[in-house]
Amino acid sequence: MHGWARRLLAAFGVLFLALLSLPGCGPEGAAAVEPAAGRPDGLVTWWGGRGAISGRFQSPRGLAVDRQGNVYVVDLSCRVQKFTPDGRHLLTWTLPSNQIGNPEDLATDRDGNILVTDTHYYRILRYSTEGKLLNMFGARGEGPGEFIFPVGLAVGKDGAIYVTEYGGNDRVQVFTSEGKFLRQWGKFGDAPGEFNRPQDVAVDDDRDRVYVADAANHRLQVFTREGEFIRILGGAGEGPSELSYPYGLDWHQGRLIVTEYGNGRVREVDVEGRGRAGLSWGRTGRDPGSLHTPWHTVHDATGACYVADTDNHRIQKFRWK
Amino acid sequence: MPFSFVTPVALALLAVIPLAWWLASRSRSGLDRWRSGIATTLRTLILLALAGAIAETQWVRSSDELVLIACLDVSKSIPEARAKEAREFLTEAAKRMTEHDKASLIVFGGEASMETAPTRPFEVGQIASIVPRDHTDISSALRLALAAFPEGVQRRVLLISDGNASRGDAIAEARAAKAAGVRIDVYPVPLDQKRDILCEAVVCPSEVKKNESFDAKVIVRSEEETEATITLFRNGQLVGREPVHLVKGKNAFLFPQKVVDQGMYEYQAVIETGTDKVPENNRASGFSYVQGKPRVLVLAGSDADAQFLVPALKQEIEAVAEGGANVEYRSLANIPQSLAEFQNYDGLVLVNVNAGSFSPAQLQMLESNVHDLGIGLVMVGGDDSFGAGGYLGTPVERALPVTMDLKQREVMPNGALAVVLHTCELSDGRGNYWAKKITQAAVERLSSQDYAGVLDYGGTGGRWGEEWAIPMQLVGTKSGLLQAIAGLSPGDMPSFHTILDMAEKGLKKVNAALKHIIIITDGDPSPPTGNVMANLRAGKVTLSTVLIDAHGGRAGPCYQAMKKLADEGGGSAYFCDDPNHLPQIFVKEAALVRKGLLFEEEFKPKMVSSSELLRGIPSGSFPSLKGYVATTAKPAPAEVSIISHHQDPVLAQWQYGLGKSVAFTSDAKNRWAANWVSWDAYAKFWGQVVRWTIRTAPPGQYRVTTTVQGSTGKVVLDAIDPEGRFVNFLTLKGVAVGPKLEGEDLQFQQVAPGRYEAQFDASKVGSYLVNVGYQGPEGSGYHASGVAIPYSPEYKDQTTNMGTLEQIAEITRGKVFRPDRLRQEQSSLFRHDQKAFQRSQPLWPWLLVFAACLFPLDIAVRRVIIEKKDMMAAWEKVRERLPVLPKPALVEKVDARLSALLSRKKAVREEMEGRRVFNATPEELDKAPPPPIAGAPPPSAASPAPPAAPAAPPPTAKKDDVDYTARLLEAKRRAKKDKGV
Repeated sequence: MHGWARRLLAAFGVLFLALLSLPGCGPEGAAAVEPAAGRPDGLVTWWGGRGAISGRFQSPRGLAVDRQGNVYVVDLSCRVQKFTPDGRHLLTWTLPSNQIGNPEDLATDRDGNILVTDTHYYRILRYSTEGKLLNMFGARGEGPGEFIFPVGLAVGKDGAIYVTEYGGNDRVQVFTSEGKFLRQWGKFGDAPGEFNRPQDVAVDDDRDRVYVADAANHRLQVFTREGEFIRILGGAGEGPSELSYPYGLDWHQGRLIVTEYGNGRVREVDVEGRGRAGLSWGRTGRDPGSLHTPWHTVHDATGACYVADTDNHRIQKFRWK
Repeated sequence: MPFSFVTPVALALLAVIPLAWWLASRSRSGLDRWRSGIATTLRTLILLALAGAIAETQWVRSSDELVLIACLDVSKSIPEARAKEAREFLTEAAKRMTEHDKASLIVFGGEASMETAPTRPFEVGQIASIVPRDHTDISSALRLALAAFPEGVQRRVLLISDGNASRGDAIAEARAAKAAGVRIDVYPVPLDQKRDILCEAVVCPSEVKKNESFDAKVIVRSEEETEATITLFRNGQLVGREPVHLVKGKNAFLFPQKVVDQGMYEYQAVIETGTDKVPENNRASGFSYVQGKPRVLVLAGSDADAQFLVPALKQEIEAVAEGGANVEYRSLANIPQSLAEFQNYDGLVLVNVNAGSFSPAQLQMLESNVHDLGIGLVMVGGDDSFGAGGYLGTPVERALPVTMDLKQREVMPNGALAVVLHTCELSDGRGNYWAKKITQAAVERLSSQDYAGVLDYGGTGGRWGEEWAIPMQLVGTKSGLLQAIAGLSPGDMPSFHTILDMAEKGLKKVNAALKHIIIITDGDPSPPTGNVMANLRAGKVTLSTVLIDAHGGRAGPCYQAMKKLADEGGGSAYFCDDPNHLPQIFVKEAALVRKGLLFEEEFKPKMVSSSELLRGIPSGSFPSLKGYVATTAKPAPAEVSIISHHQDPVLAQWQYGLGKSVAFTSDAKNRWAANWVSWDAYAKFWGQVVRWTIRTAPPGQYRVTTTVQGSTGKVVLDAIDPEGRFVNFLTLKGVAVGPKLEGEDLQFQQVAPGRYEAQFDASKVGSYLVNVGYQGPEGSGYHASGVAIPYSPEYKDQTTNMGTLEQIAEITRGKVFRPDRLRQEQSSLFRHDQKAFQRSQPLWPWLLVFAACLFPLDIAVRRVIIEKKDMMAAWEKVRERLPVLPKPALVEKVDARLSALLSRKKAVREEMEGRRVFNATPEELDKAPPPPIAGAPPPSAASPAPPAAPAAPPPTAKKDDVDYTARLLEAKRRAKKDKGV
């Protein structure tokens, strides 16, 4: 081929590449970005970015979804922010105080209200979906109905509220939907039935199972709803049947979804302990589709999954493929 | 018009264009009409472009875009409620922004900082920028705003301030804004402190004699007539308390004073009323220096440390009439807190005092005492002194003639320190900053031969989790280690289990006499399980915990958990609610690792050089010592007088700055110096050592006054001799030591007969001490003086300075938003009342390029003749070369038709041949020619000959053509050959 023809083709090539690059020249960062539909990783959207204004976060940790599909996020600035399923900010409210520490988890109770573990104030707060404080229960202590650091929340079909706590009296406590103490089990340690930072809990009423994320022991423990120990799942590591600081649990349509703080991923765990490889999403990183020390995951009624991508200060929404 | 010209006169060159047309019409040079027309057009365009380029044509575009930069005053004079109103006003007003508007925020106090770049939409959230709030510098905010405006937009500043600037020239900056076409709207922040009482000053003579009576005058300004109480303190001690009646305006009250001891005295007055709304400005200070006999302060770690030394000093120094000094002993509970208090003394003796007993500020004061104020320093050893007392890397080490780092020794018992960093959720968001700062402080206290490493929850190694962020290593020169610590970004670790396990394994690998772990945390990770703590104890690794801003405070569960962990680890649990105290903790902790510096062996001290300190003491008369702290002598001018059996310094001395210091590395009590306390030369030795360090310059004969104006301090020395004559050409040297203990050298200039002046920076709130030494024909001397800025200038003005703000708006033709009409006026903030901004872009480079491109075209049109067939031929060529182009379908079509015709012809011929053979006789078949084909032309001479016949010759003309072309090609080849091509 002649030189002039090569130059011509090269010029067309450069022009073509320049045209290809145009759609990627948008602003980076905080604003919500709608990725192309059908991406292989299933990422639907993400929003946030570090900041104190509405729609941004300071290390978001806890998540909940209400009956309308709206998403609630609590972060280190002690705010609960409410978003539409596509990440449009609707409402912000602030917890009574965060002078001595910040909240860690959210859940939706039987009536659709939002429960918050106000970890360093030793209590559970209940808000309406419009941010009105309805009531609270719990106090500092190690007795029944008292807490040291309540961190994890789950609500059974009967409305029972399961709370995990750590701080020396690591255990699971069960309350009625009104916050009346029912029962408890567990203590600090690494033996079966003992916990080291039980960071979250999930309930499967149909099979009478309670799953506890025993985070600092890098394992899950399975109990009956009465607290009878059944088995241990996982163990420290990065492999498909191993866990690193399991922080979040969500029981969704017969699947136990675990958020791993250490491995930066969200994955399904075989609850029968057969080690069957299940779904998995994300890896440690900064790009959309990657996670950095994520805390919690929650699913909505359509099956979409939201992750509190804590150290990336954002929420990611994806669908399982 | 979208174009403008910088040099319009150059457009006269356009007159050349008609000339070019006329010339073109006269001579077409054989060009046809359309070619000549194209050539003329091209030349016209070239001339137009050249004329445009020379005239410097510019493309002018107008822009309606508006950028508003809001400058928000966050200095201390702005009440928080008012600041909130202003932020809400901005946020509300920003909702009315159109697509042509952008807004940005600058916050300012003593300096300005860009909070957000121009953006849309705009919202004012929590202010993240950190600016000094003790001053207001409107000019810095306006300057930053002017620099931050983009080009080609309408520009407006909204200044939100009370207008009380304590720095800079805001009016000058407003004029600069006007010149730049920027309008400044003003939002005056209303200040409603109408009932303020302000303590303006305490005036007292800068120098007085012992037992001389004088008055401390307290000046108070009040906005109303009221009752109040004035309390007066001298160096923190209450000396007077009086109820007073204040009238509106300035009030002065006198407090008679008399001082019997030599030294610097700070008088602080505090005024109290029940109605005052700004308590921050209710105190003021003044200084007086009392001349007299020198004083020596002895500070000891315990009474036992000083039980022999203090009586010896009193006997040897205090009892002496000539050249003596008063000796004062204090326990560590009464360490002087300010430089002014230290200034009361001329010598300081530290007897086995741990560096952790002093705050970082006090350690800095100890150094400033020697270097800037000339106060002597003696450090007497013990197991809590020198390196073992945590002085390595402290300012005190700089002041001493020995260093605590033992680089020269071959065998050195070293320590290893592992620091576990957990991110701390401090309420001010600076947890990681402090965690790193104190890790650096700990490393600073370690020797180059100690080991240090840092563990955190991070991703340095690629995988996120517990890691040795800085692997255990020799401390060495420290700079790399300190830099690495600064770059850390510790994460939130869920548990101490894994990380303590890693720390234990890492420490096991290093060969160190003492191994220690410090955890810095807010206290909420889970404790370790299993055998981790047992392994630490088995490996003789100790563990301390430091809680920064612990969840729940001292009574919370975190402190209890960390205390339990430290108890199990054999270390200490520190609770720290003020990070400023953390370095003290780390001095103590790092000193634990340094206990290997103690040498407890009996030895005979050896005198290696005689000096003033040892005058009259025979060299062989020193009794044996039973121990000392290992140190290294500094190079000259440091001088070592006595050494140990390991050649380490026992007694060393030097001059440091204006003062002198001595290091004695053994102790002065009955532990290491048991044989010394009964030695008959014990008192003489210590008396000579301490006396050598005492500040010796005689008190000055002149008068020094120190004042502060704005943020500048001024020192004036009036030199008049006893006969009343001016003393000129004095050599003056002085230091001003500010509240952060940074010394600033004073550069004195003689401004009048007998008058010398110097200035220093006095922009910080606090006390400034000034020390001035002089040398003149009458001898030398020194003066001490002081001045205090008791509160920020922000608390001085309690009314909005409408004059300044309105002037700024008036200069720039901006608007003043009235506080009572803010809601109605919100919409006018983004008004487009400036004329559309004209943006010019120079076009001459493009015009030149345009002309340059047209020029070859013009030549081509005239000189290169391209006909249609040439273009067709070129096109065919191109089509052949490029396979992607379609081939002409016509050729294939014609070929198809031809082959169809030929095959049909053949078929017909065969058919006719067959018919004839069928009807003819065998003879006829042999003779008869083939019958003609229907439609075929009759045979003629032009018909092709039968194959057997010779080929008909080609037409003559064709042959001639071929010959001519061949000859031409041959001639061309010959010509090329001749040219050697």
